[in-house]
Amino acid sequence: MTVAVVHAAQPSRKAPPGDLAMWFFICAELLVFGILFLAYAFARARNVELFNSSQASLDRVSGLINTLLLIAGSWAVARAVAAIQQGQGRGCSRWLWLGFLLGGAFAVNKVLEFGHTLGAGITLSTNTFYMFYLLLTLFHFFHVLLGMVILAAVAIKAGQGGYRADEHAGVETAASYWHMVDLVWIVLFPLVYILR
Amino acid sequence: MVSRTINRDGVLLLLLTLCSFGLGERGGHGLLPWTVILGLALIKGRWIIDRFMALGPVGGVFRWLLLGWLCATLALIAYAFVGTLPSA
Repeated sequence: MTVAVVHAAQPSRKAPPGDLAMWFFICAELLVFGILFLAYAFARARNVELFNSSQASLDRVSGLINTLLLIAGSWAVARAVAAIQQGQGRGCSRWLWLGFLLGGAFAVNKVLEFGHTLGAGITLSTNTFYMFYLLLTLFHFFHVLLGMVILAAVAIKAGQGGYRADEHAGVETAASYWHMVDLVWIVLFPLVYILR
Repeated sequence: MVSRTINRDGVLLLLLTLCSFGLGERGGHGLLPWTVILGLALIKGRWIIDRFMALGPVGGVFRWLLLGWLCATLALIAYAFVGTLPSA
């Protein structure tokens, strides 16, 4: 009897969390990033010396800090989803704002990194490595900015009581997008900053 | 309890990131370091997909699409890198 009650209280889900359209969007985004990652890897294979020497100029500690910030941001957003599942709208909003702040810290650090790179006279046309480096990191950077806008919008609505424990698809949709941004960086960071 | 699991997952992801970075700082070149670094990225990516994206309990086509993307991307990156080794 107890088992039946537990199963009834936790129905198995068939659909992914949040809006289905977001999952199609996530798949499309991952496809684009995947093509860029492979283009980088195979372009490197044709000019290893150039890629290794150019990569040595990157600030790997800055890349590490950004990775830690994005993972912490994903953790905060996962806590936001857990909070709204328990009906805690205010708590959800606070966790989302923390995710927003961590995303903002990532953006500031990235702007400083871009400033240093561009200040050194490096542009998209400097060489193939820097073309990929700037293309990949700038493209990802704009996804972080879009994710921050989404998190802010959902955090405001959550703070106003716009979501409930039984109706919070918006929070899950925003969280799914934010985790996708983190997932992409988890491949980008070792590829561009570490592997050589 | 759910919050505790999320906290644990977050800490493990941070630790794996530090391991990956540390390995890169100690050289990061060659078959073994590449395998470990890309393997850590695979573990972290799967963790994000199954735990934070919450696709693990759901299963279904999107979980397999994302896991497939992750595995294929990392495998092809590994293939491209291994091809640059002198003995290859």
